[in-house]
Amino acid sequence: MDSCKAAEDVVDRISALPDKLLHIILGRLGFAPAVTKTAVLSRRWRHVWPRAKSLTFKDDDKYLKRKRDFHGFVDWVLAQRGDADMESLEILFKEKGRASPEKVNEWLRYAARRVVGSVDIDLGPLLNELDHHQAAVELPIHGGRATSISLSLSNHRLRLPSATSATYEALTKLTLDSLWFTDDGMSTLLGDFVMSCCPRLRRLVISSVTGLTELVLRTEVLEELDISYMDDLQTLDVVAPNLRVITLGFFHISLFSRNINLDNMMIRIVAPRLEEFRGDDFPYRLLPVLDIRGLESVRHLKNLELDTHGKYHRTSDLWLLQNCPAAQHVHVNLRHNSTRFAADKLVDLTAPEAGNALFPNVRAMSIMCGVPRHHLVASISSLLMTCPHLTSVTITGTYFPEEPRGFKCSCEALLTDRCTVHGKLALESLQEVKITGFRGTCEEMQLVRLLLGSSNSIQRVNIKLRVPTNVEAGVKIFHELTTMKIPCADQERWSFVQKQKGRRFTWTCDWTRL
Amino acid sequence: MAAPESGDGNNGAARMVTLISSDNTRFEVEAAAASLSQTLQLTILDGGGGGGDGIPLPNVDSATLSKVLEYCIKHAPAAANGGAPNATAVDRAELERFDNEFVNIDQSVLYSLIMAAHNLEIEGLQSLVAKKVADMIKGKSPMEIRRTLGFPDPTPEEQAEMNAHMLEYGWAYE
Repeated sequence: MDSCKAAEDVVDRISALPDKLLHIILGRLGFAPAVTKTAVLSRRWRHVWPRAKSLTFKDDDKYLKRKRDFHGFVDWVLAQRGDADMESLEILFKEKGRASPEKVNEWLRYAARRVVGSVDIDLGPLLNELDHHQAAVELPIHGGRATSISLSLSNHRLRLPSATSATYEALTKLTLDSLWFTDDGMSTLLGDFVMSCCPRLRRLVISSVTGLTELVLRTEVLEELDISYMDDLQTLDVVAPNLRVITLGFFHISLFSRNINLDNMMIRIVAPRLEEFRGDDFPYRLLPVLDIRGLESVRHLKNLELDTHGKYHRTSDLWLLQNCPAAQHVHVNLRHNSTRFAADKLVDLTAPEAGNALFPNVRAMSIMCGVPRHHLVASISSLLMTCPHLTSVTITGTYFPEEPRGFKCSCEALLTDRCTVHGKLALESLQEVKITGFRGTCEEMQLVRLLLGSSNSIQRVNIKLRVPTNVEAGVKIFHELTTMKIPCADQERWSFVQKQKGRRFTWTCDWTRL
Repeated sequence: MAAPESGDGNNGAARMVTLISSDNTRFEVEAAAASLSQTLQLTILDGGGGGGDGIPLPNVDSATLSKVLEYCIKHAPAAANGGAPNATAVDRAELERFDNEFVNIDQSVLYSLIMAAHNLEIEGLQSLVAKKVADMIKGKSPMEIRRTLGFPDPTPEEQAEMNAHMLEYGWAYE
């Protein structure tokens, strides 16, 4: 008895909480096995856990040792819940082909009755073949109260309910990934479904969907649209007056390797309130059939891929920058792609005929840099020269070390002046420079010198070193930075900060105008 | 009783309200901070809590209330920005650091806090404490959870009941 008392310096206060708070706490546990395990704590908890607010099932869960019983476990847990509502239900597979469409349909029907928040079913890696005999996953006729549905079906077939009778009144976010529509006329139904059954849909994400040849959307409520990797899409026709954010990924997996016929394609987007364009894998090959209205209002350009060979940049990659004249915040991935090299498709951004100040409205530029070391200065400075009114520049270095051994990009021979930049980098409004992944190479030092010399108005410079192996290396880089002359800064201060996070050290060099 | 000034709680960022804990301590706090509580927001929008009146909170003692207000004051600026989509990474990191420290407290205080957050409908605080308690349970065996939460050992009767339950459903808990 005494030993029992000694162990009780913690008093059981949690049991004083009402059930509904315990349901919320259990909901934060997420992992279903951790939730059900609380049943063995006491008589009360055995009755509490089934009403946990959210549950996540993962087939590779280390707590679920008897993996073969995964479906049985999910079904048993759901059955224990009775008619309790839940805020989120996630069923996620890491292993291929473990859930049949019939099983998914059961879970979807359950979710339609009980989930008031988000439903996420992810069947994991893609099946190799489309199986035409297998049953389809079917969205129930009534979507219930779920506000978000995300289905990643590893290339199973999806059947949508009839647009005339289905209701998804509460749905605000729909994600459809890795699935296919059959060719029995279903493919055109996605647009009808969204327009007639989902009156509150604000965010639509469609990726890797096969068999969808046509998507026509007329919607007042849609604010975010993300379409990528659509192998069969021929017609995309969107009129969305409230659309703010759009991502257009490339439509045909084989877009680069095959001559596709653009004659039957039509891509038209009318979105006068567009604010943000994400260019991940933007389908430049489709430019001839692309009609996007609303680019004038875009303020943020994200994930622009720019293929560069020193000061030479691929003309088509600049299309979005040129066509979003009001863009102020631009995020660019600089790449050096030797396999796509074609001298006639490149433009020297520093040449007078390229026109200086191409992009006078850009205020903040963030560059993810993945170019060879000796291209670094020319690639970045030529790009910055086109944006003379920048106030902030952020550079993240992910330089690949050198070209693969024994392989040379044709630019070495054909564009011998690629690293020669004429003219001075002048960014009169530049206030803030941030560089991460800095390794202190002479090219990086030269770049810092160029940036610091480009403006008299710099207020702050922040340079994060890329994990040097020892303090001495960090101090050496810092020393080299501090001896650098910064023009027109009579009062200034460099500081060197070393921080430890777990086993990792970070070194930061800061320069501030006092 | 309607307040003399307009019921629009948005004007006058520095408007103050008084909250009275169950043990009769008075706390004066900016209306913007108190409005993180959905319950209080309604009263404040109606013009309550100003002047000498004060809003009585019979379910919250002064120790808990001061803790609750510490959270509200810290989070009020971000909340005013509508979830702060424009907040800088620095601001967010600072809030996160604050949150982590904030819940580093005695269990009994945690439970008083989550009760108060629930009654006052302070969504962020409720979810913060729920996560903290969940983290105390995560990855532990039932025995360890019992010890952590200070559960008394089960009575023989309860244990027998449990054993029967495990016989039937033990596979599901493996």
